[in-house]
Amino acid sequence: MLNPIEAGLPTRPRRVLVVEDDPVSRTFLRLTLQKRGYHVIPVETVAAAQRQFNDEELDRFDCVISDYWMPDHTGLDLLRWLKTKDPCLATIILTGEGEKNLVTESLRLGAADFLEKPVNVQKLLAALDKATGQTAHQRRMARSDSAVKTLGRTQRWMMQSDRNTGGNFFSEVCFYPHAEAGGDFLGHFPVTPEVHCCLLTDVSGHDLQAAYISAYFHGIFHGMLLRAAPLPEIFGHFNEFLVRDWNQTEQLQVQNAIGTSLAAAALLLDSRQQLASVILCGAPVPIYVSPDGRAQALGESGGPPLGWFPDLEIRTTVHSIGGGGTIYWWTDGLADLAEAQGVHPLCLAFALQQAKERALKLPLLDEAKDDILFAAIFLPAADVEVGLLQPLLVENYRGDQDYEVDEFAAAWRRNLKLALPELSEMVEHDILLAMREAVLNAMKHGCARQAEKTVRVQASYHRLQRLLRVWVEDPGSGHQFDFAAHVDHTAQALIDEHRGLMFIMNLAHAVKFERNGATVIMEFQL
Amino acid sequence: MKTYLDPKTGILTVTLKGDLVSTAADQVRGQMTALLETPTSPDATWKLFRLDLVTAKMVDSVGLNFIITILKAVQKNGAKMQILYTNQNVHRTFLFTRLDQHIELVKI
Repeated sequence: MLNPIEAGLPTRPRRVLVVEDDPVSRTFLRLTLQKRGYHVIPVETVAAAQRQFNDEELDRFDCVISDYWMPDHTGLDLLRWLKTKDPCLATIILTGEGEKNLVTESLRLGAADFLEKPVNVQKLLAALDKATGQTAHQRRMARSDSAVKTLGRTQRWMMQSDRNTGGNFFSEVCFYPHAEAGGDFLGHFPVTPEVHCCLLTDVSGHDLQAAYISAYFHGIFHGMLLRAAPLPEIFGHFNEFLVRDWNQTEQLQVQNAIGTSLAAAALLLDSRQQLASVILCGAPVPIYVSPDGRAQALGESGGPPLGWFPDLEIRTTVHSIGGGGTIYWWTDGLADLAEAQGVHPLCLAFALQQAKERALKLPLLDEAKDDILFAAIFLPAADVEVGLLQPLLVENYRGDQDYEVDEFAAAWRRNLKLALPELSEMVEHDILLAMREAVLNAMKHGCARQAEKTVRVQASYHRLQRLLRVWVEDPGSGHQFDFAAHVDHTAQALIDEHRGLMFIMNLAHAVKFERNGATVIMEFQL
Repeated sequence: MKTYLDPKTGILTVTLKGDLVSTAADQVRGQMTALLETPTSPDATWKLFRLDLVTAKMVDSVGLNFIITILKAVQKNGAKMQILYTNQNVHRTFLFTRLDQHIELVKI
């Protein structure tokens, strides 16, 4: 049970300001309320009431009872004034019998209650009890709201770039909680100068409890990491805590709630061995981008979050991160919003970063249904600039999906529109047409239109060079021929062969081939 | 796909709606083949095949091959071919594939 302080109730006698110009009525109210333990301050006019509030802090009062008709001002004038000074302080308005229009107006302006004169004592006491309770409740809510906002500011501050990163790594973070504070959090834990650990968490819910659970796990994670506990052991320990302790609490069982779950991912980065060890429990897969812009998923998606199953299998995968690069990472709030917008999460992340750099807020963030956290972790290497070529999309298509190419192209267009809104119609046309040709070519020749084969498409943007680089790869063996000699013959003799290649060569500003042409790399100067 | 034969001028106009890309070409290929292979009566002979691509904003390689298939059939009929377009990107595509050397391009 809450004590009076926790409940927002005063521990002193409740103080009531009575504003009444009629001396008989004023005395009646004073004596009646004093007899019930209230501390009453009677005044005759609105001006005197305002002076009283100017002399004392408003939060020393628990309620105001004001007559409507007074010589200098009305009770509604006072009510309006009080709402600007302390919107939490409840006011009861006294009206004459049958003055319904005044009652309506009083309630519209936020009066806690109204009483008709002559005042009935029982009704007065009931109204006063309700009004003082309302004041206490409103003040408690205001304090909670302020505390949540403070928490939200603290979370944002803690996740600012250059705050937590240590060792040879640095990071950039975009964090947009759905409410003031959220359950998404990214922590950095330097282990040695060469080894760095990052923890990304996303707790179900957007409330203070979610923020607390997230922070609690980060604390446990840090503590166990300092004791050199292996990452799977730390995850297993917290899973057990959620399953066996937290989600078994009486409160949750009474509410028949499914309990708290925590999507989490950990990255252990070793710059000396150039390896990244990854654990994923219900969290999106991080994407590693090498300095030349090639993207690679660090692990496989899927798997339940912590807190669902007691016998959760926690696996670590190890990946090469040789030569530096960047790791892009996000929580599912970003993935969900990207899906709703029909764009790739990497593209949305890029747009968020761009907006953040310009101190703008993307309007589509208003449509987010969850906390959004995105992080870029930069892995510097000698003589290599990282993070300049940023991926906008990475897609895999089945080899037999050529009939869906219009939908793919529509998605590429949405991504381009979001990431590069100033792109000219002509360049957009050339990019989309060249991508279309390359993908259809890869499906037809590289995959022989077989469903089990995959065409991989990636687009990355170089911010300084204003260059879009697109990779289209198929699993085929490629095809080598002399394009320059072929092109004249194709045009003159009106033959169909290699016409797609002619498109690609003419639309892109530069084209490179790898693996005998099974990988096409197109560059577009924007 | 809409067709209109003007008997006075001998112009057969075929209008395609939207982009002429792989998926769209596949949808009208059968109709177009039937149109070009159907023998015409002597009083309804066309001398100019006009392909109306005024609403197209994109023509891909499959669409271009489709045009060339039409061109070959038109030439076999002893007629000429003309393309109507408005979009500048479509025009650029015709230029870099050198289609302008074989077909009259008319900007609307």
